[in-house]
Amino acid sequence: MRALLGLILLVTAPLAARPQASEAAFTPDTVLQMPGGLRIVVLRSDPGGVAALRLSIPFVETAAEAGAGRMLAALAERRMAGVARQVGARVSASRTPWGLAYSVEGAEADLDYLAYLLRLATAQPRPENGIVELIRAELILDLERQDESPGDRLLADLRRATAPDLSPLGGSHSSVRLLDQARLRAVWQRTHLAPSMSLVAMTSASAVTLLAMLEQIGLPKVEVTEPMNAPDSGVVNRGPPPPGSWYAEARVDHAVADPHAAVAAHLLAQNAAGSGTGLDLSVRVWQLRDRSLLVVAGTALSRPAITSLKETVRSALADFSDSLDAHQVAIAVGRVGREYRARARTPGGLVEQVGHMADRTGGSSDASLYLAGLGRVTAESLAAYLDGLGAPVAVESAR
Amino acid sequence: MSSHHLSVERVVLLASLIGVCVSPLSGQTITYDAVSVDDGDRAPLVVIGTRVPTGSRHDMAGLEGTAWMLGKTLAAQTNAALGPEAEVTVYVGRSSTLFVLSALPSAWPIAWETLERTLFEATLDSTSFEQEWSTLERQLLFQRGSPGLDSELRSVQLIAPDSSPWARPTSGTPESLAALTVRDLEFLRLTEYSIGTSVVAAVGLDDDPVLRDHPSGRTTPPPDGPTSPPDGPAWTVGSRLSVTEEITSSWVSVAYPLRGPLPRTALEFVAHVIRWRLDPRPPDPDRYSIEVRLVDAPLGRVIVIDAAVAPGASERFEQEVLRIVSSLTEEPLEGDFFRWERRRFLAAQLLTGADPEVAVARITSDLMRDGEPRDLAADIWDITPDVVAHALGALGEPQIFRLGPDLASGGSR
Repeated sequence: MRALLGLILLVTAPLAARPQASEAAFTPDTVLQMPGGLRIVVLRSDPGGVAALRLSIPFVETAAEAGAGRMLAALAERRMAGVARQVGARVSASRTPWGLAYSVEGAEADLDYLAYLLRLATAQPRPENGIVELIRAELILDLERQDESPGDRLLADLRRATAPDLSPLGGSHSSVRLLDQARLRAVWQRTHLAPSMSLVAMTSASAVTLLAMLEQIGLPKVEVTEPMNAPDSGVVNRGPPPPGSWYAEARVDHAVADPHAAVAAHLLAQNAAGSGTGLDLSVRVWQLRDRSLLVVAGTALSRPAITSLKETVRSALADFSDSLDAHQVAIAVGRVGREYRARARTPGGLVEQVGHMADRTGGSSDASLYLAGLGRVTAESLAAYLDGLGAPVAVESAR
Repeated sequence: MSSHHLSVERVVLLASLIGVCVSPLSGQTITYDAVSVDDGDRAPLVVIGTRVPTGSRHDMAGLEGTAWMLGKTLAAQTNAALGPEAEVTVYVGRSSTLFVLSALPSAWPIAWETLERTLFEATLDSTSFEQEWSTLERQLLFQRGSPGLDSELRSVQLIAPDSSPWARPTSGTPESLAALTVRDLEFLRLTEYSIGTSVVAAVGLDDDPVLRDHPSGRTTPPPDGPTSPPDGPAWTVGSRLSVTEEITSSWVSVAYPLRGPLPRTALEFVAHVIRWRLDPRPPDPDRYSIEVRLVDAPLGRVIVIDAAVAPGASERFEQEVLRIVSSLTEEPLEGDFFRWERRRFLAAQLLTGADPEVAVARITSDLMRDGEPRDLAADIWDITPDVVAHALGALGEPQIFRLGPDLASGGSR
C-alpha cells in the first residue's frame, strides 16, 4: 500500500472560496486522483453510522448501441440486490445522461461489504440464461409505453429536433433488439475502465482506505474495442396519434448547469398554474448530456382548442421575460434552493447530488458552486439568461 | 392564545444531532444551556421537530378530526408567515401531533420563532382553517367506502378497549367535519396545547444563542412527566373477526399483545424479524403490501402485522404469520442467524434514521414516552438471543381481523 500511495496525487478541497454554511455540505473535503485509476471524492462530516457511495462511469453510446447502458444498469442492479439484502444495504444502478451511476448505502460498519457491492456492480456481466432476454423484453415494453404516451412522444420529438446527435437513453426498438451478451460485453469492456471512474463517498473512512477497498475495480487500461457503428434503422414504431391535441415548445440552454434554468422553470410552472386558461400545461427542465431544455407542454381535448393552446404555450415562454418581478424571483430562488438542499438531507441524497453535478460538469465542487450561483440569481440576471437562450423549438401532435 | 402559556416553565429536551445528514441513532439529551456543538456549519438544512402531546384521542365525540384540523390549520398558518427558505409539515397521530420545520441554516431562528409563536400564542387564522377544512372535506369524500381505510379503522378498534377515544378516526368523518368550527379548534388548543409539555429535537443545529435563550428553554421538567404505555397485556384472550365485503383485495391484520416492561428496541427488533420473514425472495405476487409495527395501544404495547393480499391468498397469509411467530417462539434465534438479523436491523435503523424528519419524529417520541432519547446503536448491540427470546415469550394470543370477499360462497355476503 505504501508504494501505491506514492503514486497518488492528493488534492484537498474546498475549491470554492468560503462557501456559506448550507453550501459547505456540498464541498468535498478530499479529492484523490489515482494516476491511471479512479477518482475518489470524500465529503467531510459525521454521517452518523451510515456510509453512502456513488460510483459513476461516463458512457456514450452510438445509435447502434443505444439502450446498452440501461441494460447494463439493470444487470448490475440484479447482481447487487440479493447480496445487499443480506446486510440491509440499499443499492441502485441507473443510466444518467452522462453515463452509469452505481449507488450503495448502508451501515458504516459494513463499509467493506458496500465496497464489495460496487465491485460486483461494475464486474463483467455474466448473466444467467434468459436474463438478458428478460431485461430486453422490459426495455421494449418501456419503449412501447413511451410510444403510447403523448407526453413522452412530445419529448422524443423535442429531443430529435433539438439534439439529433444524442441517442435516446432507452434505446430504439431496433437497437434494443440487437443487444445480446456479446454486444453488452463489448460495451462494458470499452467503458468500465478504472481511469474514467469517479467515486463520491460520505463516510468516516479516509479516501486512502476507500482506495484500498476499490483497488481492483474496473479494467486497468483501455481495451481496443471499437464502438458499434452499424447504423440504426431510424425507424420509429408509432401507433396513431393520441386523442386530443398536444403541443410543446422548448428553449435550449447550452450551459451544463446554469441555476437560472431551475428558477425559470419554477416561475413558469407557477404562472401556468395561475393562468386561469383551463388548459393543462406542464413545465420542466429536461437535462440532456450537453444541454438542457426548458419545456412548456400542453394538451387540449378538442381540436378547436389547439389554437388557444399554441398561443398560451408560446406566450408562456415568449412573454416570460417581460413579467419578471424581483420579489417573485427571490421567492423562487429560495424555494429552489431549499428543494435542492432537501434532496441532499440524507447521506445517500448528498452523494447523489454532488455526484450528479460532477457528472454534469466534471467538477467535484460544482454542486457547491451551483448553489452559490443560485443565490446570485436576480430578475435582471434571469432576464439576461432568457435572452441568451435559443429560439423556441415547437412540436405538436393532433388527431 | 393568552400569553401566560409562554410564562409556563419547562425543560425542553433538545436532542442536538449535529452534522451533515446525520443519522441520529444516539441523540444527546441536554437542556438548552448545554447544547453541544459539532459540524453544525455543514448541515444543508436545519430540521426541528416539536411534538405536542395532543392527538385524535383528545377529540370530543361527534367532533372527531378536531386535533387533525388544528394541526393542519396551524401548519398552514405558519407556512403563510414563513419565507421561501423554510417550511413546516405536520403529522397528527392518535396521542400526539408533530410539527417539523425544515429551514436553511441562515433562516431557522426566525422560522422557529414564528412556529412557536403560531402554535402557542397566535389567534387561529380563519382563512387557513377554511382552506384546510375544504381540503379535508375533499379527502374524506374521496376516501368514503375505501376498504383500506375501513380495514384500518376496524383493526385499530380491535386492539383498543370498547369506545376508546384512541380508536376514533384521526381525520374524522364527513359528519364530524361538518360540525367542526374554528372555535372547537381554539378550545382544544386552549385546553390541551401547552408549551410546557411539548418536546423538541433538532438535526443539523449548531449551538445557537437564539434557540438557547428562547423562553421555552429556561424551565423545569414537564409537569406530567413521561407518558410510557402501560405494561399490558392489552388483552388476554385472542379472537378472530372476518368481514365479508365485495372488494378486489383482502386485508389481513394480526395483532399480538405484549406483557411486561420490555426494552423497546428489542421489541422493534422482533417486529423487524417478522417483517423480514414475511418478505420472501422472489417476492410473493399475491402479497401487495405488508407492514409490521409496534403500537402503543391504550392498555399496552402491541405488535401489529397489516397486509393487503390477493383475495385467494388471505387464509394462506394468516397461517404464514401464525407459523412464523410460532416458529420464532419455539426455535429462538441464535448464532450466526441472530447476528445477521441484528446486523440487518442495525442497517435498517441507521438508514431510516438518516432522514432528519424521521429522526426528529423518533426522538421526540422517545422524549415524550421515556423522558430521554434512546442511544439506538448501543441498544441494538445490547440485544442478545436471550433478550429476543424473552420478548417473544411475552407475546400473547393474537387478535385477527380479515376483510375481503367470500370466495367459497361465490362472493355473496
